[in-house]
Amino acid sequence: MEVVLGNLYEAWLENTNSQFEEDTFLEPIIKRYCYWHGGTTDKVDIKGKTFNAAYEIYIYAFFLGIYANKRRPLVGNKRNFSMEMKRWGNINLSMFPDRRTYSQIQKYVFSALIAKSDIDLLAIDRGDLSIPDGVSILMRTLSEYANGGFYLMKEKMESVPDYFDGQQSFLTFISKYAQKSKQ
Amino acid sequence: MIIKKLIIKNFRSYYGEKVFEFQKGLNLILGANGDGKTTFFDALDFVFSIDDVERRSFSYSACVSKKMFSELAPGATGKVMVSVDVLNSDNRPRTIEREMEVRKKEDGTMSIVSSSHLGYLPLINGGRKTVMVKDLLYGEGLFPPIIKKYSLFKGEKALNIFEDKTTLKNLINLFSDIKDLGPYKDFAKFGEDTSSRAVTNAQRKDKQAGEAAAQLLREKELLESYLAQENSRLADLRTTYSDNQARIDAIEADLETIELVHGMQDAIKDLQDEVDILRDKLDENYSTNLLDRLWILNGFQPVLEEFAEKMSDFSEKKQTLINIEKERAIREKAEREAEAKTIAELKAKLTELPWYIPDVKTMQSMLEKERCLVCGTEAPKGSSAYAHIAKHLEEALEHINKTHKQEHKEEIVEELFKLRNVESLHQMSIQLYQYGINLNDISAEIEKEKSRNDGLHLEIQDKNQTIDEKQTEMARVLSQSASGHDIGELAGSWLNIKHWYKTREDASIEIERITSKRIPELKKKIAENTEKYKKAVVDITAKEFLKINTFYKLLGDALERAESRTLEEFMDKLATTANRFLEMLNIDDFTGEIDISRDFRDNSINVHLVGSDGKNIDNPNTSLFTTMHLSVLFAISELTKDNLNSEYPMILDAPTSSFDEGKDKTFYQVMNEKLDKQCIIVTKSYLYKDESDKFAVDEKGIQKLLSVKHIPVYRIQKRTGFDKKDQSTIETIVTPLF
Repeated sequence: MEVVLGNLYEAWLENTNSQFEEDTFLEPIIKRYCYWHGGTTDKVDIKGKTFNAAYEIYIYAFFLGIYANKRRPLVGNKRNFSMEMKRWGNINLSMFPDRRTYSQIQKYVFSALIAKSDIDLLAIDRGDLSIPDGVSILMRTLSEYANGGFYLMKEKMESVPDYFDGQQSFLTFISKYAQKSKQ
Repeated sequence: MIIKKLIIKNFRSYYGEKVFEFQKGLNLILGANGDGKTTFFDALDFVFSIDDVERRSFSYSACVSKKMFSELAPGATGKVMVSVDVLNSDNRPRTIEREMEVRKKEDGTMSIVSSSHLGYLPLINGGRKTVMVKDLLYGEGLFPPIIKKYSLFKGEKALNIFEDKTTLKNLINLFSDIKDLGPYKDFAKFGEDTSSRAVTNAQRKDKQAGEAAAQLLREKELLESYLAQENSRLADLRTTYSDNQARIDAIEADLETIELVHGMQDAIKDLQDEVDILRDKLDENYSTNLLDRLWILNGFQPVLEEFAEKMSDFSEKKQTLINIEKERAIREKAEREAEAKTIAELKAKLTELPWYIPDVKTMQSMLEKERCLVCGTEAPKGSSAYAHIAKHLEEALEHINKTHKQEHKEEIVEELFKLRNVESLHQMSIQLYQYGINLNDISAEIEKEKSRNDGLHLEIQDKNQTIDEKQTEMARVLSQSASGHDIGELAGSWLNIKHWYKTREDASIEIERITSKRIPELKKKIAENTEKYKKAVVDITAKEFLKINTFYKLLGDALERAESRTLEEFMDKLATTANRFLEMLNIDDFTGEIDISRDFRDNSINVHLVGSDGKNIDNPNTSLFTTMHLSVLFAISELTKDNLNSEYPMILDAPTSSFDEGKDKTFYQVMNEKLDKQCIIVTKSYLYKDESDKFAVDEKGIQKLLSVKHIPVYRIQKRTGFDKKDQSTIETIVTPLF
């Protein structure tokens, strides 16, 4: 059953403004665990990285922030991935044969943004709040929860610098918050 | 030749001058490993070898005693020598000396100053005459290299001389007259061919009869060409057979180990393949699986519920607003309808206006023309008539507008919500909730995956442990192989090895077919053809030539039979003599005997022990096997004595090293009692380790041995107190016992 989505979701899918604090997270976390600017060149640089594209750890940080209920406004230099939300999870399978696409993730991210933001959908539908303004609210929510997640990771790495180098570390770390979220 | 005296001087570990005196019969040199047994043996080889003749060369510097050289002052010289006094077959004394002088250079390195290898004959005046060693060893037949080859044996394995396929040829050349038959055979063949051609030429003169004979001759030539082909093929097959036999011989002793290791290698490879398959099954991409398998949604249920709830609220609110609006619209519609009724009445009134009351369009025209078209009077702008018309027009327009607005009220209600995001997102929430991923299953899925991986790891660990065990076992098996072969590599070439066996077997079958069937058949046909040919020959001259031809053929056949019989007689004699020695030396009271047969497949000699049932004894114990080989060697030595009218010593290095404890002593006991030829044996028998873990002589054993007959027994041993890391401290001391 195909859902006919309204403009807001489609407009959000086209957005690229998923922001993070560049100075705090680009080198110590994103570049450490992801193939920065991935998906275009050879595979050699990917070796030893936990994730392929940088947005993957961003998704991780977002869900972490959501489960831990950590929303944190961004400060300092901000940067985004220049990649539309609709392209997240579209893995180049010829380049990463061990991976799978996971484009369903967008709906879940979006539903979390609706759930966690104070966006007035009635105002959107009435036309009192423009679609771009609505998308902007959602992207800010996305960035702030991801930021919350990144800070949780940063704190962990301050006490155990190599914590996320373990094979199951990312899973174990988020599972703790996921369990709490369910209780 | 009998060796009477051996002097070894500064030769390797024999520092200074060491003297051995020997006699006919058994002579023993006792020494443990590292005591100088091999050096003793090498010293004899050194003095009896002629390098350029035997195409070998001793390393002179390696022969020099390190101890002697270390004691030389820079610039000083020292002498290395091996000298042997012997009696030749006429009991005349001869001496051979091989010596060299070395100098220690200033930088401590060695240079060879001079070397000599000379023979000496004693003179009546007490002096001696120098002769070439070659003249003694060959000319006088003192110890020719071919005899030395069957007299000097280093180690037990070397005793099996028939492993070398040239042995039979050597022995035949040495001991039989077969080689003398060669020129006669060539001559007979030449006579046969020439007379055959003469028959043909003469026969041609009689054309009629000649044609029949020529036909027979052509058939004969054809048959002979077939025979030649078969013989050539036979030769090829024999080469193939012996090549593969040589390969098999080289590894046969290790075959069981090779097969065992091959099996282990296969098993290890299978296990490694299984481990690879298990590793392929592992999915430990726990981090990327958070995304790829959406495990990241493990805590998402509450969020999804929140979303669904929110959308439900939005949807409800939107619906409420729409409902309110609808109610208002209905209400307004009712009002509108009432109003419409009034308007209708008004309209009705309007339509009921008197004819002089104009419609809107007429009134607009009246104002434009500033004239009342009803009464026809002027109505200029600003006049009361103009104002009257304008008022009427305004009233009419107001009524019309009011009616129009009421008709569009329904559309305004619909435009309250221009977009339908709430509806579509509400639908999305329902869909994710009802038809999306079952978020409650994720936790179980993760645990299941972890446990699956753990199980695989355990399986891999088990298999790796088995691999380790098998590798350890394989290393143990490999380390136990003393053959010097790279068993691991041979096992890896197992298919090749099987191929050797198969090729040998195939060649053997084909050789059998050719020798027992194909060649006899062709020979029979040729013989039949020859008989027919004889009858076809009618010319008198041709008939005479035919008789000559028949003579040469018979001569050739006779020589061939003689050769074959001589060979058989030689082997019979060798076997009979060997069996006499076996019976004499046999210490196992074994009733079997040595069978020496010719292997038709590669013309080599097979030596077997045969039981009373006539069957080969494939795995005789080592002492029996060695005794068998020694018996054959003694038999050869005996034949030498008979044929060359000279006897030669047997010099054996460690021939009984694999004998069981005690059996070696019985063996020497028997040898001393019964052996009537010189035999010098270097052995560690009669030595045992005493309480201080040092080798000591079994004096009782020696006494027992000597009680039969007194023989020379020497003890050689390393002087104690040497430095293990410094060869210049090692010295062999020689002590005559009893």
